[in-house]
Amino acid sequence: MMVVLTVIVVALLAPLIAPFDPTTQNLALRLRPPRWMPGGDPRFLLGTDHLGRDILSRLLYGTRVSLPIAFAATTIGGIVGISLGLLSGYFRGAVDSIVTKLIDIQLSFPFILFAIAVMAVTGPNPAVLVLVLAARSWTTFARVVRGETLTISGNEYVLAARALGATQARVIGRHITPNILPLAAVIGTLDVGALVILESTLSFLGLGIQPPTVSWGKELSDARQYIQLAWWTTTFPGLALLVIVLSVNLLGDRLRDILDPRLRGR
Amino acid sequence: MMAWLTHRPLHFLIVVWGVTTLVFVALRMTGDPAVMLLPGDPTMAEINLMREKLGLNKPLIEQYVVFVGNAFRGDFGQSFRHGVPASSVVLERLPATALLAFSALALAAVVAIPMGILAAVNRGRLADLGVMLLAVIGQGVPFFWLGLMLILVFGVEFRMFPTGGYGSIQHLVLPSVTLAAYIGASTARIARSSMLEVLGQDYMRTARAKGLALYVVVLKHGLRNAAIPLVTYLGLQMGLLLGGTVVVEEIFAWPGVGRLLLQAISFRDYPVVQAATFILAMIFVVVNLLVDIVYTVLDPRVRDRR
Repeated sequence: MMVVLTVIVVALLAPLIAPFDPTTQNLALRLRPPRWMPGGDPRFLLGTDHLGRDILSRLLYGTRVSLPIAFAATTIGGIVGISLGLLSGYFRGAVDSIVTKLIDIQLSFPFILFAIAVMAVTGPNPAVLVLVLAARSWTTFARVVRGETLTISGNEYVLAARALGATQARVIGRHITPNILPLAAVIGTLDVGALVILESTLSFLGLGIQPPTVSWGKELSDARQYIQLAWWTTTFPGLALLVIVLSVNLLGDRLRDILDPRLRGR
Repeated sequence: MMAWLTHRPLHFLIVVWGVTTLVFVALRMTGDPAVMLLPGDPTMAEINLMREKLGLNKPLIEQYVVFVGNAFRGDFGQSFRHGVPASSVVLERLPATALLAFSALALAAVVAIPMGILAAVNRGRLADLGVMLLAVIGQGVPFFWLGLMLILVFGVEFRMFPTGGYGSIQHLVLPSVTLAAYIGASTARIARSSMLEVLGQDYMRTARAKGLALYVVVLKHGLRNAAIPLVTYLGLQMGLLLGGTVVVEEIFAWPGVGRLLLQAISFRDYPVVQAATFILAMIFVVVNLLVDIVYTVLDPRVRDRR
């Protein structure tokens, strides 16, 4: 939790705390090791990359890309997924069979192939990237929300509300949705972690974020060529990704435990 | 049972049709293939000639039918880059991908399942915590970065394994470890929770009560029952595995379908992109169908319920 908050603060404050402009190149200072290594330059805490850019500054700026993209995608995926899940769980029938079929079809196809195909065809573009990630994310929401809605719809208070003459929209909006939202928050949190990885993977393949915007995935694919010379250029962006994803996942697990103690330790 | 056996293939046919349609639509979205195929600045007459040759002057519906027909016969046209049929370019690379995917799957199964069982049997103790910690970290690691780190440590620093390429067992080690870690973390978690489920059953207590040793009970009575969700899960992992090979092949310069696909994308070699996507999707669909059938045949409870 603390780590997640810290990362968000870092993302907001990146221009203030970063020691350098992340895009300033200085070929005379390329591939400098981290400060504590022999030959390290005290100005560059984590060293410099193949164009002489400060790695720490690039890491700090990278938080402004990975997280917002993952958040945006999860939000879109969440809205679509929750709505479809509610509708198919509440009304069942035809809506339900179409939604479940859609989910089934999507889950029976290797998603990264789809993402690669779409990004290759449309060309790298942040808006498309968000939509592609959202397309990955809606199924999880829809599946879980549908199941939960099925259960809740059978509860007596829902029957009571309907018996009192509440409209369908009111029943869904006032009686079912509030019971779904905590669950959706858990799915959303866990999803952000998965989408951060997916985004960095696509960027790594050159199909996601394009320079000059800093993306850790792209960073890693550039650094790959210098792996023999400069271990720090590949190590730090990956560590940063690991820390973000781990902390987001742990936060999600924690939320789930609070919400559903039965699942604790599973 | 019969109803199920006819229902599932129908479902898969729908998926295959969806993939084919997606590929068709994607191709039409990229612009006029006739213009892309012609070098330099083609004249209008040249473009029209090419359109005719490619059948692009026919109605869209007719083009679609022809395309689907050709796709199912494995005909995606000539590779722009290699000048031979796109499907043969892809099929040539298939054994390398299959080798990588299966060794990773085997490695994940051999390492992750015993770890999951160990954790379940020692629930709450040190072994459990260790395994769960590894699994949580494993799920958080971007696996392409893990691949890079393995290259850094075992390839560059210790020079134990080659950092890329194909042809020997040594070449296979790092890519398959990377890929296995990718699916292994969640496999261990599933193994643990399905084993926990089984361990709580009455028949397990009975088996213990009649004096059987713990490992006999766990491995014979426990594993047999826990295996069912596990097999299904591993089958579902094929999607991750096939997607993962694309990335891992790229990192380790492994000459498989995934690397071919990425190269074809950067060369705008669309017939190959289509053929590779289609063939990978097809493999995935067929494997899942097989897993489904095997699973149904293996478990009498599922067989009779359907």
